[in-house]
Amino acid sequence: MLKAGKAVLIFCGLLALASAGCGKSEDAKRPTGANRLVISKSAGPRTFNRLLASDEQTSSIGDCLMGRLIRINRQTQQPEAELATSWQVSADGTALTCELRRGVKFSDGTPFTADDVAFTFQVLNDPAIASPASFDFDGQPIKVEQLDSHKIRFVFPAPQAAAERFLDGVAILPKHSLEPVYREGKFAQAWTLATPPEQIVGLGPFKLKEYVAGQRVVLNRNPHYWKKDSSGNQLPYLDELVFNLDPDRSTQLLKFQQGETDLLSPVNADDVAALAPLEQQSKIKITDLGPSLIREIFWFNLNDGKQKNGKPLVDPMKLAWFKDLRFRQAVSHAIDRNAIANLVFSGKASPQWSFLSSGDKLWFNAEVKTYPHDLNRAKSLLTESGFRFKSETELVDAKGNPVTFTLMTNAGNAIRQKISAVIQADLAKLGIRVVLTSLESRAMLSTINDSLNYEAALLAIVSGDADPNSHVNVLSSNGLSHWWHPQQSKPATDWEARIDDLMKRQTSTLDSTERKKLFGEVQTIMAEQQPFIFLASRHLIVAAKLDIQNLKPALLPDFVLWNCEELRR
Amino acid sequence: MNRKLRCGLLLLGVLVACATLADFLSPYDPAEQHREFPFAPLTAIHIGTAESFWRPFVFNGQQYPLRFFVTGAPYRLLGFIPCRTHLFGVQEPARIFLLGSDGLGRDVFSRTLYGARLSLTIAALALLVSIPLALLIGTLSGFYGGWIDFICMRLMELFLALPALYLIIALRSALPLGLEPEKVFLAMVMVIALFGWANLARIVRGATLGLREREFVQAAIALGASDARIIVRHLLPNLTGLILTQAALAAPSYILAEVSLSYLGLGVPEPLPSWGGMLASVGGVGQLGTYWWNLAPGAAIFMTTLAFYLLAEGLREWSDPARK
Repeated sequence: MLKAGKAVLIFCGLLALASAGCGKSEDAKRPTGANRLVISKSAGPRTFNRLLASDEQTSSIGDCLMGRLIRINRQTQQPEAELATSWQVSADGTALTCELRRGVKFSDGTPFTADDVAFTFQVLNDPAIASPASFDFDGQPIKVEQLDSHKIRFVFPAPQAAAERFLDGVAILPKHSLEPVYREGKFAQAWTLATPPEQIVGLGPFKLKEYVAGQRVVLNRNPHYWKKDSSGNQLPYLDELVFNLDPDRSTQLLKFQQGETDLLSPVNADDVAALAPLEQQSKIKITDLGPSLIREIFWFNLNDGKQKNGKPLVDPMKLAWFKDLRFRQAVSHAIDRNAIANLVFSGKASPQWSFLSSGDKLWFNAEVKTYPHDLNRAKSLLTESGFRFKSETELVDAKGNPVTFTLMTNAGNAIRQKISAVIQADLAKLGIRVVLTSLESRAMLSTINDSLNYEAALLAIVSGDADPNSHVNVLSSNGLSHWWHPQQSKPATDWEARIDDLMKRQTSTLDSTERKKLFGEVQTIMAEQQPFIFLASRHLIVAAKLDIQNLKPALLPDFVLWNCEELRR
Repeated sequence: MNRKLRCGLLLLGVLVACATLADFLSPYDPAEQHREFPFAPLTAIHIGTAESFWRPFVFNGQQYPLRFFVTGAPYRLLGFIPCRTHLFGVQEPARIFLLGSDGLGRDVFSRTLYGARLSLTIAALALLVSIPLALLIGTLSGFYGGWIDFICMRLMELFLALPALYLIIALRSALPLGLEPEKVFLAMVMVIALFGWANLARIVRGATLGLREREFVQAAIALGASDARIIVRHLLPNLTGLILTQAALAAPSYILAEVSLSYLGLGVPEPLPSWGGMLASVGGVGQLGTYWWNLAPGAAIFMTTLAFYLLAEGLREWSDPARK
C-alpha cells in the first residue's frame, strides 16, 4: 500500500520537470497574436456570478467581465469614477448619491440604467442569497433609493466613512437577464460554470468566450464597452485575455520562462533568480513593488475558554505566560526579522513591526513601537516578569516550569517551514523550547477558527483594501479573524476595548485626518501589546513580457489585471 | 557469498557507519544556522598553502587551512561518550560546506548524514515490527488454511486496499498537536509497519502453503510432531532466505515512505533533519536548477535503495536451493 503513495509523491517532484519536457501544450499552438494576453491562474473561478463568491480567482476573472460604479485605483489606492460619473456624500455621512454614466450598454447591447443598480442591491441585500459581497451595519442593510433613471442614492443607518469604497466590490448585474431567474428563486443556479458563455452579460471590458474546466478561461473584447482612451479609441486594446489554469507554481514559472504566458504575478522571491537570465536578455521585466499587504504573523493563543470535555483550551500555566505582555514583547525582541527577510525571502521582504504594511501608504503609522533583534532586552524583560534562566539553554517560569510551547503552521508551505525554523533557533537562544508541528491547511484553519485548542500559530494576514474598515474582522474583539481570541462576547482586556472603541469611531468619522489619527492609535496599541507578533511583509514582485504596455502593477488585488482595459501590446 | 551480496553489504555497512558516526563525521551541528551563508554553494577545497604545498585549504577572503580532528560543537559519540572532536573543520569565519548549505545556512552535508541516521533507524525499527507480524500471520494462515486463512487473508487485503496516505493524514490530525519529535518518530515507525506487514505476510503465506505439501513436512505430520514444532523446526528455517530477501526489498520502500511523509510535512519536525524534510524545503522548480546541491538527500536515498536492492538480489541468489 505504501508503494502507491510513494510513487505519487516521488513523481510530485518530477512533475514540474516532466511538464517542461513534454512539449508545448495546446495553447502554445494557437496563434500568439499581438492582441492577446495569456496569464496563469492557480485555479478557475467558482462561478461567473461575481456576487456569489469572493475568492481570488472568481473576483479577478469576474472583475474583467463586470462593471462597477466606483473602482479603487490600485496604484493611488483612491476611488475613481467608473459607471458612476460622480458621487456625493451627504453632510451627515449617512447618504451617498451617485450620478450614473449615460449611454452605457451591457455586452448584449441593452442600455444600463439605475434599474440595474437597484436590482443588484436587491439581490445583494437578500438574506436568502447570502452574497459574500453584501454589506451591512450591525445587521441593517443599505437602503437604495432610485432618484431617476440615472441617479441613485444609498442610505446608511449611521454615518459611514469611506462609504464609496465598498462599491468597488459590487459588480452591477443586468436586470433584464437575471431578474426572471431571481423571481423564480433560482439566482444561485444562474451564471454557473456550465452556463453558455453568451448568456453571461456584463459591463466590463471583456466578455466570456470560452471556459474549459481545468484548462482555461478565454475572454474576448466587449464591443459595447463604454470606456475610450484619451484620443477617443474604444477600449479595451486587447482582443483576447486568456487564463491558463495551472495549479502548480512550478508549472506557472516554467510556462512563463518558455514564453507560453505573458505575465507572472506574483513571483515567489525564490524564483527571481531563475528569471534573472530572461531579464538580462531583455525578454521580460521584473518589477519589485516593495512590501506587499501580506504580513507573516505568529501569535499565542489567548483564549481562556474551555473545550467540550471541560478541559481548558490552553494549559493555564502556559496561558499565564502568553497573557504576560512582557513575555510577548521578549519573544518579539528575540526574533531576528532581518534573518527572516534575508533567508526566507532571499532579501525580497521587509521586517514588519506594525499592524499595517508600509505598502498601505495612506494609513501606515511609522511611529509605532518596534522590536529590534535584541537578546539582552528580551532577557531583561523576562527576568522583570519573574522568569529565571536555569541554565544558558533553559528558561523557567516563577514556579520553575520549563518554558516550552508548540508552534503550529500549515504543512507543505516551504516559506512557513523556514520561518518556523528561524523562530525555533532564535527562541532557543532565549532558553525557550519550541516544538514545531505542521497541519494540513484546512485542519489548521479549523483549529484556529473552531476548536481553538492550540498554543501558538504561524500564518499570514492580507488586507483586502487599503482602508481601516477592511480590518474590522481582525481588530474587533468580536471579529472572526481576531485570531488570538476570536468572537469575544465582550472585550477581554482594556486595550481590546479601546481598539473596539477606536474602530467604531473611525467608521463614523468623515474627516480623513481624524480617521487617520484614530487608526494610527489602533496601530500603536497593536504594536505595544503584540497580540500578533508581526515578522515580515514579502515584496510583491511581478514579471511581464517587455512588449506589454500600460501595465500598472499595484499592491491591491488583482495586482496586474485591475486595469485590464488599458493593457496593450 | 556472491559479489552482489558483498557489494550490498559493503555499501550498507558504509551507510550504517556514516549514520552511527554522523556527529563525528559532520563538521557542524545539523540545526546550526550559519545565517550569513544562505544557499552557499559547495565549498571549494584548494591544495597548497604558502607554508606547505600539499596542505588543503578553503578560501574566504584569505586562506583557511582544512584541519582534522578539530574541536567543535559538543555531542555524545555512539550516544554516550561525551565528545567535542569532529573529523574535520576550518577556522571561523570561514565555513566548510562539503555539499553546500540550505536556505537557512545549515550544512547540507551534516544534515544528510544525520538524515541517514533517522531513515535507517526508521526502516530497521519498522522491519522489526512488520516481519514478526508477517511471519506470525503468514505461517498461521498458510499452515492451517480454512477459516483462519480466510480471516487472515481478508485482513491483509484490507490493509493492502487502504489508501495509506489519506489515512495517515487523518491519523495525524487526530493525534494531539504538540507531539514531541521523538513521539512523532515512533508514530511514523508504527504507521509504516502497520501498512508494510500485509504484503510480507502474503508472501510468507504463499511460501508456507507450498512448504506444507513437501515430503519432510508431511513426514513430520505423519510422525505426530506438534504444530508448533513443525512451524518452528521445519517451516521457519526454510523461510529464512525468503524473509531476508523480502526484508531487504521492503527496507527501501519504508525509507521512501518516511521521505513521502516528511515531504508532506507529516514527518519528524525540525530541527531533526530528515531526507524527506530536506527535499521538501528545496521548494519549486525555480530553485532546483539554481541550488541543486540541496538535492543531496536524493542521492543518498538512491545509494541506500541501491544498497538494499543489491543485498536483496545477493540474498536471493545465496539462499537459492538450486545453487547449494
